[in-house]
Amino acid sequence: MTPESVPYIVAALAAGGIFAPVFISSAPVGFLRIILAAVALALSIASIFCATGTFAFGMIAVLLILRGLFANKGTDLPKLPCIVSTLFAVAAALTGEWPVLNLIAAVLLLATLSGAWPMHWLAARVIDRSPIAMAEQISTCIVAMFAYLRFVAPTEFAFDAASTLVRLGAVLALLPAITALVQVNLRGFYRCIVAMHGGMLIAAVGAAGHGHSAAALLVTVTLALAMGGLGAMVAAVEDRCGRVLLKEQGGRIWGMPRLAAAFLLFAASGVGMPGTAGFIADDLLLHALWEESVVGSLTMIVAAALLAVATLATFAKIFLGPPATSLAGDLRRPERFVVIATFGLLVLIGVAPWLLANPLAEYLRGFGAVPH
Amino acid sequence: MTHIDLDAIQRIALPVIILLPIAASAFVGLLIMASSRYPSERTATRILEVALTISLVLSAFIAICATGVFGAAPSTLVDYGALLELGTYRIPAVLLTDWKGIVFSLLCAFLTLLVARFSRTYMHREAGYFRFFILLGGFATGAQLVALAGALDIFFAGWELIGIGSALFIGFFHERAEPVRSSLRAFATYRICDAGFLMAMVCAHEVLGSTTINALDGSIDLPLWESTTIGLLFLLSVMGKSAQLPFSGWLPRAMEGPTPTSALFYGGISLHAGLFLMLRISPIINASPVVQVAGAVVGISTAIYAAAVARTNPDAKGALAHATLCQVGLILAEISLGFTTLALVHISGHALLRVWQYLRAPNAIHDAHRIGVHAVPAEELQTQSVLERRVYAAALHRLRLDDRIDSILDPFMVLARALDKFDRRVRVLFGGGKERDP
Repeated sequence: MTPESVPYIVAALAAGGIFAPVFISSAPVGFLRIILAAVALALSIASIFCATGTFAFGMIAVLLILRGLFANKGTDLPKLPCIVSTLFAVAAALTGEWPVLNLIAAVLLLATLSGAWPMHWLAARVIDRSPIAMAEQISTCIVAMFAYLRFVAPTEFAFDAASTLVRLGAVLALLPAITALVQVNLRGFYRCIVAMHGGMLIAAVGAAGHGHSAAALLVTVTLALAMGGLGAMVAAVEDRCGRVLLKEQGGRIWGMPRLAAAFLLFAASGVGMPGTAGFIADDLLLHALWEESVVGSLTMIVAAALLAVATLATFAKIFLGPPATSLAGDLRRPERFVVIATFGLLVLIGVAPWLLANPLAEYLRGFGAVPH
Repeated sequence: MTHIDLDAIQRIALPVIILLPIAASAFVGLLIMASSRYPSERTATRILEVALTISLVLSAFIAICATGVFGAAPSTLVDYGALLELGTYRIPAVLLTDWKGIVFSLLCAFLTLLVARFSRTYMHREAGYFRFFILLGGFATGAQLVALAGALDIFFAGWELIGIGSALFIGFFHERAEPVRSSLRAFATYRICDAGFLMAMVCAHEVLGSTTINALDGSIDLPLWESTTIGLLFLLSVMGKSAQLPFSGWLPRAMEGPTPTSALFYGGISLHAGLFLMLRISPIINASPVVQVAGAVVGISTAIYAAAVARTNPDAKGALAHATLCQVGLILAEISLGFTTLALVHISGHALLRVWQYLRAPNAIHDAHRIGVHAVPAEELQTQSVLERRVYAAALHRLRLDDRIDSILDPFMVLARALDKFDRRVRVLFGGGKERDP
């Protein structure tokens, strides 16, 4: 892979994140949804290939406006999160001349999109209405992070703010990881696991300021693919069984074994299962964090351990147990192929991370990124 | 055959040994995911058994090559470059075929194939038959990664695969609540203790400049506090994986899994994987007397505890688990005191014996009746001294280890609930939290 191929790879990953939820939801794959996804992809590609930060973040703002205007029809998406994230994107687009404001706006944009604390109340509004809409929102993170890495991370202020952001990110990852242990419904768990990854994203944003761009992008790709995939599985479970409480064991694996396997694979990838992008992203991030803050790195390790325990406990509550009497079916054929493709991407990046990371580092050097 | 040829063959053979089992599992999983019908039991089993057989044959071939039968032995360090290299950060793709690695690899390959063959009939028509074999392939790859890893990152990948497989096998019969609870407890113990491994790995990278196993030889030159910190963090991880005190509580619960996996994990490989890590990090242990003493104390106290519990345990698999644990404790002490060759021999012999005993465990009741083994009569217990009775009661209750750990964790769960309550209030304040039905 050459450095010139990086934007194409990022575009392909963004396309996967955008189109996957369309085929997972039980709602019919209507004309409007296909058109919306195509427009989202076109805007994402435009942002990826833009030569200035103003246009890159501007395209993201247009994408978020469109999602706010039209997505409401299909998924009953609340408008406020779209408005807030659009405002941050616009701010990031217009403040290129002022590095401090630019960094703050870009970080807030990423925090809002990824559902990191304390912006998670906005993500909570989305997840509480429709987990699939959150999966769609997360897919935008790849494009936003790519814009951040090219136009914000190489600045001097991003370099100075790196240590602070790393420490902040570690704390923001730990808090939702702790609360994930006591969630009483599936959406609550999904909210926590996404917020934990949001914290990791903030820490990765900080590390990118000191040249750890590959760690930042790998964390984002894991967030988009694994958490997007998990969100789609949460939606798939709820489409079949209604709201899922975690009071007692559901025994759904008997009726939907493939869905259970897909849920476990995406969740495990999110918590760093070997052989997937999550493992490499965690490893890379921990080493990057260690250089900035030993305590931050240790905090992240503890957060990852707690989240893994919460994940297995949630999986056990939803799927394991005596057979449940249910007529709900397993994953449909299009859904299965989406799962195979999305998880395949996670495995590909997990076993061959150099395909993405090495050309990325080379590519970003052209934008003045600090070589690590 | 020339020296160069053997190196080239080894270079191709090692990835096959490691990756073929998980590739077979992935293939079976893909068949199930992509088609609307399940393959037959015979097809799934054959695919996996062929993969495991090839893995064993190649592993044996590498061992034969290492003896020098075909001329000069191939190099023990097989470098595939780097999985990822960014500036000073590097995930080395290095495998190590020294005698420790070869013996453990051969042991893992042999035992996994043996258990797979045994399980073909044992698990026949069992719900979750395919799940069993898919997980077994993943475990086989994890075990080979641990055995042959030349870098801590690769070792950790295998270590994690073993942990995940272990937890999922314990909860295999999930229609009952107890196996699921036991699975969660084992997994929680693993993950918390594995934090030690991760921290140690990152520390080692920072102070030694590399995560290769060979780089650990440089730990002799480290300041004492650095080698001690890294060594103790690794020891924490080993204590979790090998169920050493005070983390022994999950082991008897792990017997909820199918008997073949109990044999493979807790008789054969998983418990010994912790000891193998100790063998790999022996340069760090040798560099720090504190780690040596801590390892020996943990090992010996676990051996005493397990010996006492094994003598009072009322069920066959539980008694066997503690008998195994007793030996594992002793091996840990051996490694800590520097007897690494003895420990390797002990690990191999012990694993083979215990797998055989576990696989025969379902016949234990039959044997007990045939041989005439009887419980200790109540009158005999009454004649014991107060101390003997106290030791007996403590062993019977396994020192209430689980209760003690739960009581330590309780305040943490209170904190988690308080944090969640605060978070809910914040979300409601800003208009979130009004969840709608889909």
